[in-house]
Amino acid sequence: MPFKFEASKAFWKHFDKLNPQQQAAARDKFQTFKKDPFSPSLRPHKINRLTALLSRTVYAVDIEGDLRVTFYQDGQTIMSVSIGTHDIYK
Amino acid sequence: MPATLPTPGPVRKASRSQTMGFGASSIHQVQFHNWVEEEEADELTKAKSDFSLWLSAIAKNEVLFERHVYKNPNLSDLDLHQHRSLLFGLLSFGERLIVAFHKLGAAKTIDPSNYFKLIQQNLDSLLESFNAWHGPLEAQEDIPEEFVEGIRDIAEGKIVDLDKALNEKPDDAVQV
Repeated sequence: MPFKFEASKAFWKHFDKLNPQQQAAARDKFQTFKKDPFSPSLRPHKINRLTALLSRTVYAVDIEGDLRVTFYQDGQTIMSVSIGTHDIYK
Repeated sequence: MPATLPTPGPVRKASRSQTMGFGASSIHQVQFHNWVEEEEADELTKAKSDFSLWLSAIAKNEVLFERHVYKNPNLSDLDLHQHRSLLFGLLSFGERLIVAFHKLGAAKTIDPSNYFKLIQQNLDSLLESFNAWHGPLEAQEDIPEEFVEGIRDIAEGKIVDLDKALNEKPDDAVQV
């Protein structure tokens, strides 16, 4: 069963604030993400502290440079929470 | 707990003899045994020993936390339960140490101020770890606001299709 991809409105707002180059890079990476959010090419990794705080496994994938997307899986839904360059997403 | 065990030996026998009605002269034969001070000294020894054990346990557990929680690539719920369990245990033990040193201070056995300071420093650090890993998300000062906002949005049902988020502009009507 394929995943359903959703995002928080905060993700939407912050994605819109990225520069055009970052947006283009992100759209490109999201093509891969939508085929397989755990594709090794995206370097998916657990963020332990966010996982502990939320009591659910939170992952991040690399988009471009330090830009990363955080998401979690809820059944068949992949929920993108935020996009940013913070150290905690590394 | 050795410090609270009754002291065995000839003193008890002498004391017992006294109460059993042996002559008053036998009182002078009773060996002086200041068990009050001895008891307090034992409590001090135990408190100091417990304090050292506690510091060692904190250091030992920090290594375990690094390996099994902070840098564990396969972090599980069970790891988090164990993390909380050990932190609760260390916090509880530290609080009991404060009480023990208070008691010793009240009995003028020791000036506990330096112990209080060291114990409190460690308690603060343990509590900080606990809150940073198991406290409420909204209370975390170092978590990016965009992440907190994202989680809040999801909880409030403010969710969009990913394609829409990637290809359309959020208009002013969207309350984000």
